[in-house]
Amino acid sequence: MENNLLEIILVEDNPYDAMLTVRALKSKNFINNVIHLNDGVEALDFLFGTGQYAGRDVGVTPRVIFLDLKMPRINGLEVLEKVKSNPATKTIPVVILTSSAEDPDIKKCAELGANSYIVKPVEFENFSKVVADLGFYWVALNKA
Amino acid sequence: MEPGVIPIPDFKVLFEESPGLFLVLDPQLRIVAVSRAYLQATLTERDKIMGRGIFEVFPDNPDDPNATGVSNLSNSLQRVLKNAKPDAMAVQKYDIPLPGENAGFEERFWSPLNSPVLDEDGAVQYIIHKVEDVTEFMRLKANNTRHKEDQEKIKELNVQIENEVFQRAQQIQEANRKMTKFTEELEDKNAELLMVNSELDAFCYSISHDLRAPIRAISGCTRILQDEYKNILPEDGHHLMKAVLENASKMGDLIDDLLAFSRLARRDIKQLPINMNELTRVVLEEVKNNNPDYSAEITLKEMPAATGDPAMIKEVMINLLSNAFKYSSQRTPAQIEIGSFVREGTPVYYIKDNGVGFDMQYYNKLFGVFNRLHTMSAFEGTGVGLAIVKRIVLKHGGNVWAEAKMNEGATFFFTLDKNSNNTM
Repeated sequence: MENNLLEIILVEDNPYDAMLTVRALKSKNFINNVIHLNDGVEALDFLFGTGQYAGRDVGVTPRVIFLDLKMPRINGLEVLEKVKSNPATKTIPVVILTSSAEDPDIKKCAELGANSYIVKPVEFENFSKVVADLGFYWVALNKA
Repeated sequence: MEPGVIPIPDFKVLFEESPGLFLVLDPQLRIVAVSRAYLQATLTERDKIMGRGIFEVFPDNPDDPNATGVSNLSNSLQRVLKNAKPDAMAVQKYDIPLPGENAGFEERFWSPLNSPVLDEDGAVQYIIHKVEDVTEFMRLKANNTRHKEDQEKIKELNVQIENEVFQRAQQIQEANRKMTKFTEELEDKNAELLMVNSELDAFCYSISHDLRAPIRAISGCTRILQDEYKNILPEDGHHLMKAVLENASKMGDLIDDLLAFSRLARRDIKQLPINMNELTRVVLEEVKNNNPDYSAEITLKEMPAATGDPAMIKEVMINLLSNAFKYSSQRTPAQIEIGSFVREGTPVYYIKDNGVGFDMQYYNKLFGVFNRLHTMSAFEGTGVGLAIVKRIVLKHGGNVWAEAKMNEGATFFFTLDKNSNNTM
């Protein structure tokens, strides 16, 4: 039951992008429980119950992870690789957030098992809609 | 016969038979006496010259424009008449007429001495003109001199040639050394350029990525303000919000274009056959869809196929056609013609419009990045489109150029690599 409460993890180092993404996700009333983690290190600690999240019940997994690629310390690709290579987390859908459709890492993400990707557009309107739709899609899909 | 009683000799005979070359003139410079040797030397006969003026008998050689014999001799004789003193002349070239009508002249050199014979009053009664024929001597001397000169010259030339060969060798050596240095420098510069280029690309790419985030924040936050606080925002506030959003959006376009431009540098071009007619029709549809309010008389002429990267050539067409649409939008009717012709065996594709054109004075800025020839308020755009067109066309080994007149439309031409045409 508690699992249902955690719907989305957003891993994003840019606070403004994070704010807008969270806002977009929450614009669908359906999604309320979003946890924002600031970088790859926090994301891995959270997912695997290490570091600052030592002792966390790792059985509680998100329905979907929104993952930014360009982050300090541990970047999105490394997080994706760890998530998809661990049996406990590999079924969690991962949506990649990237600044550009030209990002050469997008191809690598697909190979590593990313489920979809969003190009963060400059204009908020599009971004908001795409994020909300994708969030809704994966959360709803995972619930069913 | 008694000694001391010697008959007076015949002085006339003695004079005429003396081995010297003598001519006697009266003060009017008429010939009054002449020695046989003189006659022989000058190829003349006594009875033909006696009593005649010397210059009548010995005129200058008309074939020798440099002949100075008459004037020199005349001057000398005049001096003798005036000064009553002997006058030695320098060696003269004084050609003599050959006997017979129009027989020409023979080259001769003379060493003359003119001596006066004075009467009791000391006036000049006669002038004895004594000459030596030095022609042979002069010839020998000339030959000798020439020979000597030739030898000197050859010697000099030899030294000169040796010097030149040496200098040439030095120069070649120096040139080689410089060339090696230049080549090294060129290689260094090339490596440097490659590095700078790749750095620039990385820089462009990174800037394009990193610039997006803050703009997204500006745009996003403004949008939220606009949506969620519209009721407490005064009218002016809404205008300002709109301005912020428009500018953020424009900045986004600039970044996208810049990214597209920098991406071109990294992209390899494919060499595929391209049906230019088909490609143009597809692009026309796209551009029309993006400009629903625009209408024009569009003439699409049959074009030969091209070889190149279809996606890139499509980009070229999109940019050129979008421009044609944009800059002819204020015309009624707007007219656009797309076609081609062959120049020097290479197809030249062109897009012609009857729009506002541009001033050829600023042509050099036409294809530069972020260079615009029209104000933002008149025509929207980021100023990257034609830079992209140029980069693509150059990458294909082709060329792009334009012709325009203010308010009379513009025509853009481009070629692709002429070696990779195919006749599809």
